[in-house]
Amino acid sequence: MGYRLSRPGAGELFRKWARQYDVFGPKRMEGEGCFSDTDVIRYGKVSSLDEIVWDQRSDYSFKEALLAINETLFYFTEDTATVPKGPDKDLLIFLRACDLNGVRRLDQIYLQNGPEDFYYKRIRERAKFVLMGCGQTCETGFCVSMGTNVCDDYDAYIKVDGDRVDLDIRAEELDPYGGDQGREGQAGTGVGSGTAAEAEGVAAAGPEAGGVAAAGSETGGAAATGPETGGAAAAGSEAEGVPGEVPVRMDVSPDFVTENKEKVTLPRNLSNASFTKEIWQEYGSRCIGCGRCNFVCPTCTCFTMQDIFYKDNPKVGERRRVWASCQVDGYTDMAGGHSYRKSQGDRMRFKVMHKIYDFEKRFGYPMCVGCGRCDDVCPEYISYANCINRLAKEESADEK
Amino acid sequence: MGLDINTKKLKKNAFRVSKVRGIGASRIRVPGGYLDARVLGMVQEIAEQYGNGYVHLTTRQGFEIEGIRLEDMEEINQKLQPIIEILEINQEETGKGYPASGTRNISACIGNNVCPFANYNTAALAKRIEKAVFPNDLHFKIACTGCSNDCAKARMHDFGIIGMTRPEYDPDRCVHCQACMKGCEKLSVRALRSENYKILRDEEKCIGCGVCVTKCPTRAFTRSKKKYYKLTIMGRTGKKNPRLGEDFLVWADEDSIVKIILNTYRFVKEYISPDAPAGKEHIGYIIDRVGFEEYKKWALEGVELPPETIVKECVYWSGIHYDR
Repeated sequence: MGYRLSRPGAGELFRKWARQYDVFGPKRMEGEGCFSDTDVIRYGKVSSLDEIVWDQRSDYSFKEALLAINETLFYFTEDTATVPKGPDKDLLIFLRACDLNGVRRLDQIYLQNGPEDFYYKRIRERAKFVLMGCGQTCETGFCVSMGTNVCDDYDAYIKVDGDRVDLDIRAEELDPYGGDQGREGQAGTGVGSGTAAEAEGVAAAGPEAGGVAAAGSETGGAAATGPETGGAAAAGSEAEGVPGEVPVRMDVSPDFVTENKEKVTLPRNLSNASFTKEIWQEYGSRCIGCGRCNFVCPTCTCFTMQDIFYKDNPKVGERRRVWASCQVDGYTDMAGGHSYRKSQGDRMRFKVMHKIYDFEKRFGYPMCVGCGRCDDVCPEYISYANCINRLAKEESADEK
Repeated sequence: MGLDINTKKLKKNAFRVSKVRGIGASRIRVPGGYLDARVLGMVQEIAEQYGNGYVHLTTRQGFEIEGIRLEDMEEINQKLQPIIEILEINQEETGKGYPASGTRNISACIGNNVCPFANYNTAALAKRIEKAVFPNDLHFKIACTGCSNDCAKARMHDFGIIGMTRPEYDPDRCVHCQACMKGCEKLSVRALRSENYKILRDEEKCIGCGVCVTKCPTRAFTRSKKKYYKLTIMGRTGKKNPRLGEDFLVWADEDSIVKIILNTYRFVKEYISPDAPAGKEHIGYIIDRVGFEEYKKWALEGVELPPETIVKECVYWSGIHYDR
């Protein structure tokens, strides 16, 4: 159901959500960037709409909200093991279309790739997703090339535009405004197939509806004085969690990017023969194996295991799983001290082939969602997007 | 009629007497070595119009416009006016140049405006200190450098201000890739080790260089919100006993450092040798004479250091002695 709220009205809705959910969104962590006086935008628990970064893509993806960087699988004593309890609250995750497409990849690996993963499942089934629209493309993303610029499986869509906030709330639990009642037509459901003309229609309806929204916020203001005058009634509505502002009902469909600055052509005939290409040696000479590309990626799912024996009593400990990177030393270490893919070139090849070849061969669609984070984070300025384009170019040259 | 010029006044007005009779040089200091590029064009114009077309980039981050005729000094001072205004150099009278001082231009490495290793904005601190101490006749040399690499050679100054950061470690974000450990071992002092797949930092050993932070791919290591500095003191070059400055304060704050520098001016006024040539004596030699204990008393007066600051009980210098 589509709504338009004032910013304070949306803030009220957010507070209602935050009572029920642990809300995760992209936050600006001041001074926590790599370099002095630089920030990093990454996911964390947010307590207001203002805390969410709307105008930039996050440096790190949403995935740490679902997959902890360090996750204790169980604690052990001599003869017993205890599984830590799952999340206390349901999760609400604010993310963009590329990342929501990333969720599908995580699901693929953790839920539809052999036995379901217990730990992922128990948090995943408690998670809901709020789509943040992309009014314009980011600098390095190539979601359009990957077909991940659109998505239809969000629980709510939110667009913050100055003082007004447009929402398309699909999940009943997230909708305190009555949902279908008073609903005209099929607002919001045809999002994936939404045409530009439809989007324009919504935009054109904007100013008029905006006027109504302003009126709405006035009544919202009156309602806000409620608690002073009618304490009991106000407390009652608080308990029900009904925000004071009455939203304007309207069609809302998400903003999706239709063109990126960065465009990528996938090579279509990769094979084991691609292993020997010279470009891997070139990348190998440049890559420092830091693993940033993996850690920022919304689709990298690899982890390693760590058994920890507590210092004070080594008979007690825990088993953790921890994010791993195929670019970092140790990734292929095996019992007996053997390891393979020792050169950075081989590791780069492995990563790229997994993202655009192996995964697709197995599941029918590429793994990469084209968010562009790996390109932005690489300290050695290795562009994964350019690497793919080079592969495609070489391929078409080979064909000629 | 020969030139009749008061060379003392000339020097005090940031000009230099050169080897060639009647020819001097105009000196422009650039605080923190950071300048609006418009100044370059103005310097060029003066060099071409009044000088021999050449400019020396001074060791203390200034320009020295060569080959100017001493008769042109007044005109050149007019030309210097916009430069002085852009660089915000202290000035007594508009259009008359600026008073050069015993306290030298405060130099700085490029700092965190550009350099990935720097832990603070060196030019900004240089300018802050400059506002606090300029103009001053006493011979002080101060340099700001962004990290322990000390590209500004701060340790060769009376006061060297070396940027530090206190690494903050979030074990929940650490994947034990060991990039920090390798970085610390190869580029710094090997203050990190690993236990149970997590990193332990030897606080005594850590020099706060920030390498672990720049190497960390997951933001497990981040910089402290507070900026810290190491204050090295009484390094010097020169004929008698050149030496590197020694650590006086470690994990100090900016305000305290500014206060200590100001206190040191008071100390020097009290103890400077009455027959110091041209009223200038290196502070280090004064401290050598008076004793570090006495200096420390003056330096720390009214200074409230953060509790985490390490103050060296005593400081010993070495260096080469040509004077013994």
